[in-house]
Amino acid sequence: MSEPLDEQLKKRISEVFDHYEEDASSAGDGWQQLRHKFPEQKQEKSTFAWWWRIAAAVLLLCVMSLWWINRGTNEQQKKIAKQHKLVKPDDNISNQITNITKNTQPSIAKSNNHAPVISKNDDVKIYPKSKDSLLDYPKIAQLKPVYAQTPSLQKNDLQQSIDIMTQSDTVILPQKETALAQVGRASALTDSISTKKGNKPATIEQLFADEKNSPVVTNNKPVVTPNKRVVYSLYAATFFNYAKGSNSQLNAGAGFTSDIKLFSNFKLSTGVSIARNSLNYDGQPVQANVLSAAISAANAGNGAVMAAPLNGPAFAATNLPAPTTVSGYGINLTGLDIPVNIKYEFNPQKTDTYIAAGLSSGTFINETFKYRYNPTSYALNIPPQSVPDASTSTGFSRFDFARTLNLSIGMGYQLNNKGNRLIIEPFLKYPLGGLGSQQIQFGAGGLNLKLKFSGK
Amino acid sequence: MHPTHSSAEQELIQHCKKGSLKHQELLYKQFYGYAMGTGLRYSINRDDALEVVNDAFIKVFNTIDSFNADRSFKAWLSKIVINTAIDRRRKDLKYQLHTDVEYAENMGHHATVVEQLSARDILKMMETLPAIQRTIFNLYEIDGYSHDEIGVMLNLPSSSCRVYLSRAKERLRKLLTTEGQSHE
Repeated sequence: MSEPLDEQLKKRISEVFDHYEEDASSAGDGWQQLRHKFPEQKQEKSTFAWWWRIAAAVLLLCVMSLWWINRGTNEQQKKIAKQHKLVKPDDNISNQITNITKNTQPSIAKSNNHAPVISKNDDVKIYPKSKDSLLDYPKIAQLKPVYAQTPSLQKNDLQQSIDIMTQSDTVILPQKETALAQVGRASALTDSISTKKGNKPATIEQLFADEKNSPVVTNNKPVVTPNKRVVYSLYAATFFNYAKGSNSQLNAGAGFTSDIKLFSNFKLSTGVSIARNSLNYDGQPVQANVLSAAISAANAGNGAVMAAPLNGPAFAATNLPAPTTVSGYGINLTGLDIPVNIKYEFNPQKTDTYIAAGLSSGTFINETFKYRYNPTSYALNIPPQSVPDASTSTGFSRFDFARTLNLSIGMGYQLNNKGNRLIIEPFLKYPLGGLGSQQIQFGAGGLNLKLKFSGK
Repeated sequence: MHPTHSSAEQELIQHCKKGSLKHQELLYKQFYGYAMGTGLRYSINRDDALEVVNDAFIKVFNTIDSFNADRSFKAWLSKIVINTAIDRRRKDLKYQLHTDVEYAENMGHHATVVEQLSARDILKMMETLPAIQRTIFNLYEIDGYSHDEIGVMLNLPSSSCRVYLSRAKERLRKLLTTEGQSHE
């Protein structure tokens, strides 16, 4: 008895729900709800992926730059060290003297220890540390100017010494000279250095110690940037706003920044700027909140237009809802931007070349939305009527914290001898989230012209 | 080719495979009613059903490339809606308190005989069932799943599924009989 009832019920349920229908507006509402999740979800996914790619690229760039800079600095240090090596007692000259004495004193030459060896001249200590020999004489010839620039040495003495050495090289090379002759040359070399008694250093060590202590005269330009803790800049920006679906718009802004020194090459850069951002879209807003604001604006602005057909006989007959479609909209945002960036200066003592990255927070002083509408037919038998444009304005609606990623590079040029500099700074602002009352996602890319008040 | 596949439907699906938002909207609106019909049977209320349907359609749009055009789109959609609804309520189903509901609170005046039951009446009847019984009844009796399949889906022994189904049917019979008597 129960079986037929079960079958009957099963059949009825299938029948009813296989052909289940809801009114058309429900499907439309459902679709609008789905749109909150469906395209945005996909976009967020790709935005997230892009964000990671950009972050990885920036990181890679920073690491490579640091490596390159360190490499350059190390090479420079090596060059300087090489130059200074010549004026130390355990370098080439000593070695060369040692090599000469080696030939005259086989017992000393055979010993491999690095203990100082006292030459025949008691004033000269010889440190047989390096394996360099006079065969390297081109190095010595190359280093002649270093001696020439050394103020504590008598140019003639050194020149004479080097000349002797280089001359001796040409003789030594064939290794045919007698040991006596080599000793003679060695004595001549040591004598030439040690003959200056009295006010002059008595030993080579003293000589080079004096050289080390003497002020180094360099031809380098004076330091460009004074080592100030905080440096202020004023800047003007021109940039393009970009957003998905929007035409690019040229805009401008201005502001000031203060760079606070953190470490030798790192600075914290912050400040405030005011800028105008504008976006212009064609077609229906994709964002549901913007669409709903557009429809509300149309309804608020066109009550009379809407009311007539809704109450009229034609609408009553057809019983259709009044659809309003947006043909496009423009957004003008005047905002305050507070960036907090970390700046890496490649060589703060000499140049103003840097890269910077950080986040921006801010609010909008004014947000104006201007909506344009398609002509609308309020009923099937009524011709389409134009819908006037509508606009809404608001200000300080919310504070968007850390919603924009800032990336920039800067290059500086000296303007005058007071230390003020002009910085050219291309930049990119990448949106990490929506901004303003309608949570619009947009970015900007352009150029900052900065006047940096370094001061002396 | 499946007989229920019209050329318009095929074209719609092809465009959806290309990611056309406009055609996705058309597909959504065309099958919204059917999906809601399925979603409502597995959901606690209309809002819940709408969320199930939307989540199911997102899955449809994201995986439509894998849809075989020889199959019935309705059947594929139905399966996705059912799975989405069950996933959504899996926790509820697992820890369902099997409280006995003796009578429907209000069946409506049209449910005098089975043939006259409307969707609303059926949903009201379904609401009187514990979620686990309602789900198993729908899966087995309406959507044609076997007890073994239901057991896998709900992580239950198939013997338990049989018991729950039997209880659900008994309760529905009781409701129909009571309502029939009250309208005589």
